[in-house]
Amino acid sequence: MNLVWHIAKKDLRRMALPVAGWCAFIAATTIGFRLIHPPSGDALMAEVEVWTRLMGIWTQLIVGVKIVITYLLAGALVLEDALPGTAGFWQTRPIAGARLLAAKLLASLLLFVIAPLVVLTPLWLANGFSVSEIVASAWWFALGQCVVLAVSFAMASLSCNLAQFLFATLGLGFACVLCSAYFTTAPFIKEVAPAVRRARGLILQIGLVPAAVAVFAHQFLTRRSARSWVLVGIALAAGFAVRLAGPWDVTPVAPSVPPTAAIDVAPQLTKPRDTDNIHYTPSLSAATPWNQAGFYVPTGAWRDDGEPALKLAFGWQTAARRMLGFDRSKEPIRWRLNCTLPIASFTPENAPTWHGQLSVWFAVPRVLGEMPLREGATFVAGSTRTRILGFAKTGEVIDKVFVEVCEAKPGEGDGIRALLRPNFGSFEEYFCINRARHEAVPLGLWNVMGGVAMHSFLVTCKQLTVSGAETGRDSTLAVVRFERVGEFAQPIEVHGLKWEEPR
Amino acid sequence: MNIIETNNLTRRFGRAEAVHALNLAVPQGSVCALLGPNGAGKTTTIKLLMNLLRPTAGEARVLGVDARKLGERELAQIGYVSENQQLPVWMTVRQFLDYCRPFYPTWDRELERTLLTQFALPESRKLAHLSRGMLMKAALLSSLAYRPKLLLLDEPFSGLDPLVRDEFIKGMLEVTAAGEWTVLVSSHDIDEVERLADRVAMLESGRLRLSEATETLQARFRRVEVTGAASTFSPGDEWLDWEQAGALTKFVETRYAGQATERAWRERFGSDRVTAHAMTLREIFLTLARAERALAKERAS
Repeated sequence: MNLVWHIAKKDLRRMALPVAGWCAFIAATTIGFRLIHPPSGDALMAEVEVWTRLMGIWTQLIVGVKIVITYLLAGALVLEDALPGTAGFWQTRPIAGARLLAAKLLASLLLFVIAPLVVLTPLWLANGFSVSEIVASAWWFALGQCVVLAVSFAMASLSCNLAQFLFATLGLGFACVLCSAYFTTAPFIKEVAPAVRRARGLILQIGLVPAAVAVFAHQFLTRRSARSWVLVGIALAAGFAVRLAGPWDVTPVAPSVPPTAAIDVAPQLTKPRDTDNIHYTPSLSAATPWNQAGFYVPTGAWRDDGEPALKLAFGWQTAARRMLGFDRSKEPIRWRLNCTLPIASFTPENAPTWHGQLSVWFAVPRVLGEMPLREGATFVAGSTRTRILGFAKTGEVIDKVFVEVCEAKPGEGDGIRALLRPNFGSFEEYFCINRARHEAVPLGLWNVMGGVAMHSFLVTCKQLTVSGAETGRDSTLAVVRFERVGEFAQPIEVHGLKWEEPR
Repeated sequence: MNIIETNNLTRRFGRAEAVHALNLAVPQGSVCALLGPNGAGKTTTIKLLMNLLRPTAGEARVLGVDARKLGERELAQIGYVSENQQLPVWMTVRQFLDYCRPFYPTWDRELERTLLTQFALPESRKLAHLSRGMLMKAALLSSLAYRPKLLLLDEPFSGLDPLVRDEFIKGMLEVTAAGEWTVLVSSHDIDEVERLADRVAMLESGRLRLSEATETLQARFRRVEVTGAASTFSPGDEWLDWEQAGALTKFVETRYAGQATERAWRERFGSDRVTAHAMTLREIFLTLARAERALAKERAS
């Protein structure tokens, strides 16, 4: 271990300056990200949209630069003691490949995971992140870094110098893009269900890490570059096999046992006359009045755009109003899910019965806070900071409210999160409150004007629609957050619902 | 006991054969010079011995271990200096030595200090800022300070100016004279190696032409000049570089054995005047190289 640390210390000394610069870059861009706010004022939807778009480009650029710099610095770390070739200093010294590998991993952990986390943690703390949010943010950040490090280690371990490393990276990347493009458009490729397509993508991206680890571990331990390149070839072939033929659906499914035996789902299918939507109305017995429940049909029944075909439509308002004290009822809430034609069609009785699986999650509403309904009003709840940017009004009556929400979304903006994101985490609902008149008017989330994320900070601009609320002195804007507290899944049979093949 | 032993060691690069069925033995305590022209396979041989390259066929044993299985224990007893080695040039001389030291349980701080003084290396200067000669000295220091059992030097003199080369060799001589180590030094600079080596191995086109003690090699080679009217005779099998111009005949005797050989000459040349001159390693090497090329040409035609 002493020698491992001795080698790692050498690398730390060597890389100290570039990594310090890189950490400063991370700190500066994160602070900059937190300091830049969207424009405020009335009727500013277009301006906010432009701001969001520009910020989106900027943050993507920053995250991209961060990834590229990590990749290059990690490659340089490995190339300090290049593995191929016969001119490496370490190769003629009593340093075993395993020892060198351990030292490089230790150095990269300290330089590319711990050092930036040391920089980011104070920023997270200063922005009200809780311990669990910091731990989660650190975890997602480390996970994203590890993916980049694994790929960089693999390519650098096969290169003699930086030029070869860059060339190999570009060559392999270009080959992958070309092959991928070919396989996407080739006439023999059959269209598959979105869930399978998604599962293939997920396997490919997750499989990248063990493949890269296998390549660099083999190279460090044996220094047989030809065989390591064969491993790269096998990994690529396996990747394309998954891309072409992977039949798996790996979307996580909720546990099949309900949290309590008393809970039962009794679904009912209805089709109102005045709409094209099919309403699927499950009732949930034994849920507490405070519990919100959501239902979705996992995986195979997702739409092309990556959304569940069935999703929660109504029910949350009742739960939120109860939490705000505007509804004293103790009756169970009825929820309704809807799905949009033509993914599913309503068929006559005795038509084919759809067998599927229904996942149910429970969410508990929590009032995040209230603030006066005026421009610039802000409230901070933990790591969530909500600010009213402006209004669109007709006279004194509010039509739209523009809000900026900055919150902790661990892993958001680090790239990797999207791969493993659960189906539901939390969401917020907004109410215009007038306690003098005992009014709680729900605001419809008419438009989320995009969100920009960086290092677990997520800034979202929302356009909320409201009818009948006035910007009186007594009016406030309340935010209720629904947080998932549990889930389960169970098979269901739905008579009269025909599921159609994806277009 | 042999510190290095190779058995039909062969290495090919594609179709080209860099080393062909090499059978080389370097006894413990000897300073062996691996000689040969450019492309003879000297560097490849040393890389095979250091497990920097894997043999295509045959095997090499270094310190009694298969070269392909050289581990940390064996490498801690081997010093290696090569003109092509990529040293961590961002380090200062002091940092470089501090980095190397923990890897060697036998590192001798006293010897390190002595060599630092002897080589006049500036400790606070970065390796990148050292001259080529100084850099080689730093590499040599880092390979000597732990008193390795075996020292492999691959073209250590190339690129060094004569003064530095002389200093380098002087340093090497002092160090090796004091130690029990075995040295294998490859070079095409025969004059320099002659001062160091007590054993010589000659490679030509990847093949070992000879391997023996310098003393016996130089003892059995003589440049012979025969002057006289009767000097019309055909060359013997053991003669190389045979040439005749008028009454003067020159050749190189490869099996000179003192009085016995001179007696044989007298019988052969009669009253002609025969003079035999001792040869330097360089002359022997050039003679053998010319003979090899002539033979190759003959085979080709």
